[in-house]
Amino acid sequence: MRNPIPGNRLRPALWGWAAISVLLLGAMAAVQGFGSTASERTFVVFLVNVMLVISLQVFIGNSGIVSFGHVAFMGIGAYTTALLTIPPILRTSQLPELPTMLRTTELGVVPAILVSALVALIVAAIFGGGLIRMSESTMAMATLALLVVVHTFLQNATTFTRGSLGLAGIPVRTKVEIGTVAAILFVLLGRLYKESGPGLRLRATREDSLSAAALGTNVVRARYGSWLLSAAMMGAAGSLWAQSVIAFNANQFYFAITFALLAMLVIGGRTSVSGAVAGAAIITFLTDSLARVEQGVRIGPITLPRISGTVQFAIALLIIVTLILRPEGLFDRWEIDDLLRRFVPKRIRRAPDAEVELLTAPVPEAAPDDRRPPVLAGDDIAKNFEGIQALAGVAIDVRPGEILGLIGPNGSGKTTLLNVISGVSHPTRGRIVLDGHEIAGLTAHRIAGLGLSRTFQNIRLFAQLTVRENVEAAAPPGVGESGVDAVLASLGLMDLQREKAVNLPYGMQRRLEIARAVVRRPSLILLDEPAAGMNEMESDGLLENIRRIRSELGCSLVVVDHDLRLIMKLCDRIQVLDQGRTIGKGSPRQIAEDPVVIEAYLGGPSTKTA
Amino acid sequence: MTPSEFVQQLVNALSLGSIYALLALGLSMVYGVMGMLNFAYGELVTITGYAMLAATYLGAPFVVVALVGILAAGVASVLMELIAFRPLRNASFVSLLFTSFAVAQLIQGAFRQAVSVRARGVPVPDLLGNAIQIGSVRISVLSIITAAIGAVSLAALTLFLRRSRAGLSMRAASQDFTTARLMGVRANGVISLAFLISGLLAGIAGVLWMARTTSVNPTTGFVPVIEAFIASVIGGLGNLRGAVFGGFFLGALEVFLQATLPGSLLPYTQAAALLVVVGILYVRPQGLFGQKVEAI
Amino acid sequence: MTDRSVTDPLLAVDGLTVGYGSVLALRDVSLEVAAGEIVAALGPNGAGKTTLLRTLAGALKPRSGSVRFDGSSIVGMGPESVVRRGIALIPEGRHVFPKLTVQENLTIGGITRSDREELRADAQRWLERFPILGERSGQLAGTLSGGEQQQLAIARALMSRPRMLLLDEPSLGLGPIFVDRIFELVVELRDAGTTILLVEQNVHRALAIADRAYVLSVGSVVASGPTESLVEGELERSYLGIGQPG
Repeated sequence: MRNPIPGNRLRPALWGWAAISVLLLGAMAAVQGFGSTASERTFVVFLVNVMLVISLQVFIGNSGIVSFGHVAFMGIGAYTTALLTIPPILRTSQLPELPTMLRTTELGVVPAILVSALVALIVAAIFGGGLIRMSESTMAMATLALLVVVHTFLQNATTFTRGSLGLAGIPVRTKVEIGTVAAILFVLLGRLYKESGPGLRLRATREDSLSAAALGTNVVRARYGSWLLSAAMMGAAGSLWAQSVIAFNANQFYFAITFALLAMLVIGGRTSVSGAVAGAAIITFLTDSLARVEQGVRIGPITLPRISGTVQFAIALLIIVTLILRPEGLFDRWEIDDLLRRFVPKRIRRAPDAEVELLTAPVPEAAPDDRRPPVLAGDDIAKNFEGIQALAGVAIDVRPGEILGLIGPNGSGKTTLLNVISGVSHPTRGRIVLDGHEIAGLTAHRIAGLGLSRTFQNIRLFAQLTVRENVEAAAPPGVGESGVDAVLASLGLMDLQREKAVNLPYGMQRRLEIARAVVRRPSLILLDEPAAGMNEMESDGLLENIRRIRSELGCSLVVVDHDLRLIMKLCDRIQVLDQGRTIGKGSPRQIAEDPVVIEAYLGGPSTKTA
Repeated sequence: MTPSEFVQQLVNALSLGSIYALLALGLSMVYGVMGMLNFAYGELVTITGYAMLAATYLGAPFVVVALVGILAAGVASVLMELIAFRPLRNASFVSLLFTSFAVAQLIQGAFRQAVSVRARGVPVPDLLGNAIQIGSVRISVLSIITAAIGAVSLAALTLFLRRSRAGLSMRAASQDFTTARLMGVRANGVISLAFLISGLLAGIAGVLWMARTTSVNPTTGFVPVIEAFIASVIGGLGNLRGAVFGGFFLGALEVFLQATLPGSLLPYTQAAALLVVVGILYVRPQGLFGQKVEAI
Repeated sequence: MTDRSVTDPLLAVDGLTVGYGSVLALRDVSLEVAAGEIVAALGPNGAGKTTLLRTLAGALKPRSGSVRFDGSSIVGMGPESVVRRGIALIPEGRHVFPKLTVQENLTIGGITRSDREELRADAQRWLERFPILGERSGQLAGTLSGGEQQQLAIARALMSRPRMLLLDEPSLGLGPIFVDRIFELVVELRDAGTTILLVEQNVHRALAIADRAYVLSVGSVVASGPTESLVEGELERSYLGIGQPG
């Protein structure tokens, strides 16, 4: 069975997890050896905070969308556990109207956790389906509504919750040992999810949801998956929390704790699991120390008066300071294993000596094939935006193995045509067939799944992901580690594979864009201004790369560019657009000599004598 | 429902809706110009309440008390932008949201410390507690005044936006900030103005809210602001007309639910209204007047 | 490069370098525009022409280099200040305020001026000069056609009575008749005293009205001089890549 997480991501994740686990176990030993009951209590609070914040981060950190509502799942988990673990006598005395089935069931610690996670999951599934389709700011508001709705329910469904009086008598099972083990498991789960295929693709949508969709990721489904997982984890964490506090009421699951958890993420690191743990430590420590200050404390000869609200105040200040000075949080986007790597000598990975073949299958004909049906056939494609007719009825056909150039002056509709074909935008009318499938009006990710890839004019890389991760995020299920290696090697990106995409020089960024498109093994690749900003030498290199891609993958390409020298040398046929219509189509020579084309580019016949 | 009850509820809806509309408008205005959701907006209502409290202790007549409240909110809003948001002017949407969340907590904490955790009563003229009788219909004076003040405020704001140069600058900036700057519209000026106006709107809404609830505590601003957020989202974020519509819609929805829900479910009025709105957003994620974003 | 008279140029750009992230859009660009000239900046897409105008207008900050307008430096100033110095930009793609009326768009163009009466008179003048705008003065600008929006964008920029106008691809996406009108207008404006720096892809048209031109490629100036000296065949070749070996 194929390894679900490739080695290059799995290894650092496991190392990072091991490092954190060692730290947690060490802390546990220290607390048990030297600590008082009070510090044991604080340590358990810390461990539960770790579990809560990691559950929250599974969603917020990976999707980039803020959810204010996750504490609702914590509450659901806590109440479920309370209802199923409080000794029956105590239970029925607090909740006399409880249905019979719930009166006597008593669950052990693990079953309670699992059932709580399940209930939270169900609620999340019901609400999430709608939420996840909204835009990011709307969704943030909708999760706020979710928090209020669940809180209102927990406060008023007194038959089950005893409202503001709350429930008491929950057996304390989350002790130091169990808590530490649980926290370690949560860290493992959080880290593994982040590095998994679904987690990586979700992170890609966080970086650039449009290009992620155009490279095959179903954005809604990716978000929904992490929504469900984080809700279940939150429910489980809520259960563990309930089994540490003995008693609680509905007011616990509202803004105070939401604020504290968000603070942990902001201060520690929104996207880093190690950061989340650090954030939990900082906030727990701060809350604990300041709680003592709030009681009034003696510092040497000075006795401070009782000050209420210092905790909130301090946390709020710390958030603001962090956002100004270190906007991504203490750990920024680094995991603890990234930092450790600085101290470990680099194992130099030997790059393959020769250019690696992209496919081991026999290489199909390099020349365009007229006999087989076209890879792409579009007819009468039109697109209107707010009164402007960007495309006024364009026909296009691309033969198997062909490189078609698409040129035209600025504003002629070239990029619009690419957008309509790739599903980034929907045509006002027209028919487009890709490899026998009707694709006009389909979503971008579905079209990508049918065999189309593209690059973008203004580079849309997954900026904070590494070069390798960029390619892996685009890779379809059939392509494994070696497939990714091959693509990286053939485009000269192997040495840079651990660099973040945003740090690459411009030419490399363009190559990475192409690598992402190539790894999908498409039948048609759309390249939008791949030579923009390149000098002659660079664009010659690009030309070689494109030719090689065509022959090794056996695919077709449509290339839009303004570098007409490149287009003339590279393309088998050229189509010229002007003002949303096709004004020329033919071989490079034909196009270069076509007076209509020349006029469109340079403007009307010359009025100045040479 | 009898016709007279209906009229009463209608006036109620207009009155509650006015308050939500004013708040939703303030939120949308800042979003339109700066692209940020200000989580600390509700605190301006709290500030209004406490300012009114202070003015009352100083013996001022109610009209002055109300004006003090409104001005306090306006000033606080401008200060909030200057101190907390300007340093982060180009930060991401999420960073600004978190910052505003933190600012909200700071202000709440400050009031908790400086005044008290418990609610304090804000005296309100007896006149507002009365009701007038028209035929078989009893309508509370407060509802009428609230609706009237809401209407006047909205009209004044519309006039300002449509007729004044500053208003024109704001409208231009919310449509295309960069081009507005190229015309010479000062970025800082227009943002401060947006915060000032939205602060004054919060102040007016705050005074009306105090008149309804007659008490203030550190978390007072919280309830109406959640409504305001949801209302501005129904209308389509950044869309001012949509915000007003959203506010009235939500107010009417709540009043309607209050009147029709059975007694046992009454505590769920707000929750039910929110669920209805989330349902609407499910069908139309861009809000009722928002623009649908293509792709994905 | 050019024989200039004794007076200093109105706009003097020296060693301008502008970048976005890891990309250098302009590398060490220098150019001059004398008062009363029409200067064209030509070059294929991606050459940096729009970046140049946006930097001059203050919408982008350069990494290095100097920009002097009428003798004083304007480098690093925000767009609000640059327009108050007398330079107005008509951006690529027009960027009219879609939900403001034609009249309101004009008013915004003059927002930096305090002489209300004159402002009203100017607006009236432009509405008469462009009858289509006059007809639609109460209409929302977003409902106008491309050519009408372009006229509005130009009139709007002129409301601030700029000494210098930066025009970014005014003929973009417009039909030939409108293009004629726009270029006629540009000459008219120059004759009335406004200095013009024009970025255009439509080489023939631009050279027909410009006094001098600079040719940009991949962020650098590769040729410049009076329009007569720029040989057409060479330009065509660099644009269309014809006649090149391979």
